[in-house]
Amino acid sequence: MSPEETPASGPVIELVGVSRYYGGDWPALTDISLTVNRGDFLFLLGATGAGKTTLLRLLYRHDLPDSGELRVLGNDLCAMPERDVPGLRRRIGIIFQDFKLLRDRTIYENLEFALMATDCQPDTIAARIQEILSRLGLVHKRDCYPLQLSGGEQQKASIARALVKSPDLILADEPTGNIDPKASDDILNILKDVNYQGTTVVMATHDANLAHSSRRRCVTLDAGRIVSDEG
Amino acid sequence: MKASYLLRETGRTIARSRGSFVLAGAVQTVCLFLLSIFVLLTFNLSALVAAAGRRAELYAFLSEEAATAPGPLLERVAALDGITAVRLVPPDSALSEFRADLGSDTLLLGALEANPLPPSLRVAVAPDAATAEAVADIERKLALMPGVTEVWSGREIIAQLNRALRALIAADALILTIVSLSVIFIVFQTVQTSIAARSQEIEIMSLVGATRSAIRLPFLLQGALQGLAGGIFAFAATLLLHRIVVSAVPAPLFPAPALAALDAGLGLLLGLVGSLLALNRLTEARTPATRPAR
Repeated sequence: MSPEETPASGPVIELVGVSRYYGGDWPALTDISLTVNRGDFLFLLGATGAGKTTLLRLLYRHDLPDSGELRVLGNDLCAMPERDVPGLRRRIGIIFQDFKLLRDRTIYENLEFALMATDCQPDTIAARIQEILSRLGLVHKRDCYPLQLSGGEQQKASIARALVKSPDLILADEPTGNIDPKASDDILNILKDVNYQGTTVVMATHDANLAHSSRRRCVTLDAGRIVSDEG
Repeated sequence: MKASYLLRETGRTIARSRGSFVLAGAVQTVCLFLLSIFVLLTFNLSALVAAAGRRAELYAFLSEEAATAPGPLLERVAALDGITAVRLVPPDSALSEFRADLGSDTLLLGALEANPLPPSLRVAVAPDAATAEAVADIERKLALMPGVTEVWSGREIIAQLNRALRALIAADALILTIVSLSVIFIVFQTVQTSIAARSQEIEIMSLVGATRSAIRLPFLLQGALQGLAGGIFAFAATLLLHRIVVSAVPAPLFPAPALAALDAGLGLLLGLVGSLLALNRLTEARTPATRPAR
């Protein structure tokens, strides 16, 4: 199956006995087995260093496990050739704690950059950006540069960049880590709304209250191992 | 990726590191300019050697007595193999020809009280027979004829020119190697700097699913443009130098289209090689191609 094809059924994410060691023997993840189905909203909960980011990096094929099986969107990532990685990532929206917006480009240009870099039809770009900015309430900020926006607005722009590609899966690494509580609620509501419309969401956070109060499935990591899987 | 967007991204890449781009372009221009000068010298010397070879004319200087009754000598010379024409040049005619060759620089000749030039025979050799061995053989036979005091064929000068040409070609090869390595290194460094300056863009492009070629193309284009610009400026500088030189000495040959193609083509090629090498390191540094070894 090519990375652009969507499996008709089955899990979106499937890990079986996945381990990842840094520096040869330091265990970042140990024997992780986890299944995430289509349309799920999953919190990855854990303190700093628990292995959340390492797990997410494996899911978007930034890194590879030392052992175990790993399938995302129907693709065996351990066997995936390098040339197929862009195709996989076009189906995944990635959101970071530090936003990773280009500071010398406006919000519109940041979104345009993501679309142009992935060979999107140029005549559809403006409409797609307009639609997503409207959805997130950022139309009036489209010509602002990232540093002219608040942290919450920057994170919304980062989500807009992830959503503008209409991904099948959203991976969010501490998306509320750098913003105030009110903005955190907004971000969480946006991700819930995205999930409600059918997109699978995996959100890493160290905020147990945020995760538990959302009443969604919550997988807790500690020292690279899954210690609980609730909800 | 759309071409206009690619050019825009390349423009951003260059603008981000414009200082090093301009400096590197200037150094490249100097390198390619140096190479152009050597190529031009080689081209002119080569043309000179070819022209000298085609001339194939020997001078047999005669005693005064032989010049007074040259008939038998002319017949013997004309009978030699490979000779197409022989003519007697009396001292007055030789002086006139010499004066004509010198043009306006005849000040020294005016100071002479007597004509120092001896009578001579001009011996034309058929072009197809004008090999170095054949000319040497004719020279030897002429020297043995009575009344001939000295023979000059210009073989030594042509041999010297040929030696100089070979040395110049060797120097060209050396300079081409040095210039190529220098330009590749300069482009490599500039593209590396650009890659560092745009590391965040590269990371984001990679994360949103840009293909390898979409990430690499702006940098490849930067290297190519840098090399091409260096080549074009080097040609312009060589052209300018040629204009200055022709005002002072007889016009040297200037093969403009070939030299322009050489400068631009070599600049472009070396620019591409330099940027490819830089991008190769980028690829190696960024992708976990296989499962890590345990």
